[in-house]
Amino acid sequence: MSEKIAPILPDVESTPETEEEVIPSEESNTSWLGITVLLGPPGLWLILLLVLPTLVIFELSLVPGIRPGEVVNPSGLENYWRVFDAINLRVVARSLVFATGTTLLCLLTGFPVAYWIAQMAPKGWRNLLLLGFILPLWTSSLLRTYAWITILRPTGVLNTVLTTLGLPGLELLNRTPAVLIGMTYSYLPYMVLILYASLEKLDRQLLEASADLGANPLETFWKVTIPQTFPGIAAGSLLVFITGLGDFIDPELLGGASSMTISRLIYNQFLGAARNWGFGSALSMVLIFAVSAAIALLLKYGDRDVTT
Amino acid sequence: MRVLLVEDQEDIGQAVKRTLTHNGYLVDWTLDGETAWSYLISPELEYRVGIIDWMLPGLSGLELIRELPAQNLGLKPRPFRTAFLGF
Repeated sequence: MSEKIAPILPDVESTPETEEEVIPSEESNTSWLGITVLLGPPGLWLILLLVLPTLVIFELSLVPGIRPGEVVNPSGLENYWRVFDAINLRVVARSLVFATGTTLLCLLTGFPVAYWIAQMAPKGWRNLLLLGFILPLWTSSLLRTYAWITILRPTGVLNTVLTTLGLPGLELLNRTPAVLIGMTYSYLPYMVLILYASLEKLDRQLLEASADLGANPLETFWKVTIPQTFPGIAAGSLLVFITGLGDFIDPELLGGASSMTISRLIYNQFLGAARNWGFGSALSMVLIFAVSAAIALLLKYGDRDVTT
Repeated sequence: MRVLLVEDQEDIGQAVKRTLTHNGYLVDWTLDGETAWSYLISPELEYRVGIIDWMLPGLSGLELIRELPAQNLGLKPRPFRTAFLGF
C-alpha cells in the first residue's frame, strides 16, 4: 500500500529547466517588447489626445458655472438636466431629424447608383464611375457648401433656371430643405462607396434563381437583394447618421437662424457669446454617447468588410 | 447694463442694437430663439432686459418667454405688440 507510484506526467515545477524551455521564454520577452514598441506610441497618442481630453470635457460638464481663473469644482449634474430643457430638446430633436433625413435621402439616392455601378455598368468603367463620386471629396467641404449657397439663394442658379422656364422661384436657402440638400450632397459619396462594396459581392445566381422560381423583380429585390446587402445598408446608414449628427458647416451656412443643431449649440457655448463651458461640455458628452452607441450598432450589424 | 436682443431681420436688429449701444447699453444680439435661450441660461451672462421679437424662425419669441418663469432667471416677461400683419 505504501509503495510509491511513479508519476505518469513529469512534475513541471520540480523538473529542472532545459535549454529548449528557456528559448520560448526569451521569445516571449521579445514578443512583449515588440508589442510594447508597436502599441506604445499609438496608445500614448490615444491617451493624450483622446482619453484625457474626453475626461477633461466630462469633468467640465459637472461644473455648473465656470469662470476664467476659478478652480474647477465638479458639483453635480445640473448641466445635464439643462440638456433636457424643452427648448434644448428641440435642438437635439432637430439634429436627429437632419441626421435621419440625410441618411434616408442618401440611401434612396445612393442605392440605385451603387446597384447600377456594381451590377450593370461595364466592368472596365466601374472604377472610373466610383472615382467620379469621390472627386467632390477632394475639394474643401466649405467650398462645396458655398457652392450650394450660390445655387440655392433667391437670385441663384436654381431660381434663374426656374424663372427662365416660367416656373415660380423657390425659397430654399436658410431653411430645412437647404440643409438636407447640402448634407445629402456631402455624405452621398460615403454611402455609395459602402453600398458598392456590399453590392459587388451580391451573387447574381441568386437573383437568377429567384426569377426562375417565379419571383417578379420587386419580390427578388425585397427578398434577395435587400437581405443579402443588409450589412452594407446598415454600415452606410450608420456612418452617414453618425457624421450627419455632428455636422456643423451645412446647418450653419445653409440653414441660417432656423436650423440650430447640437453642434452649433456646442460651438456657441465655447466660442460664441454664451461662454457656458459646463453646458457645452455636457452637450458634447451627450453627443459622444449618442455617436458611441451608433458605432456600437455599426460594429454589430454593419458589413465587417466595410466597417473594419 | 446688458441687454438681450432677439431679432431675425438683420436691418431691424442692426438699427436697434446701434441705438441701444449708442445709449450705453451692452447688447447681445441673436437671430434665433434657441441661441437666445443658451444666452439666458448661461451663468456668464446676466440680463436685466430682453427685447425679443415674436415671429422668429424655429422657436418663437412667445415660446421663449413662456419658458422663463420655470428657470428662475429673475426676468419677468412683459409681452406687447407693436405691429402685426395678418395670419
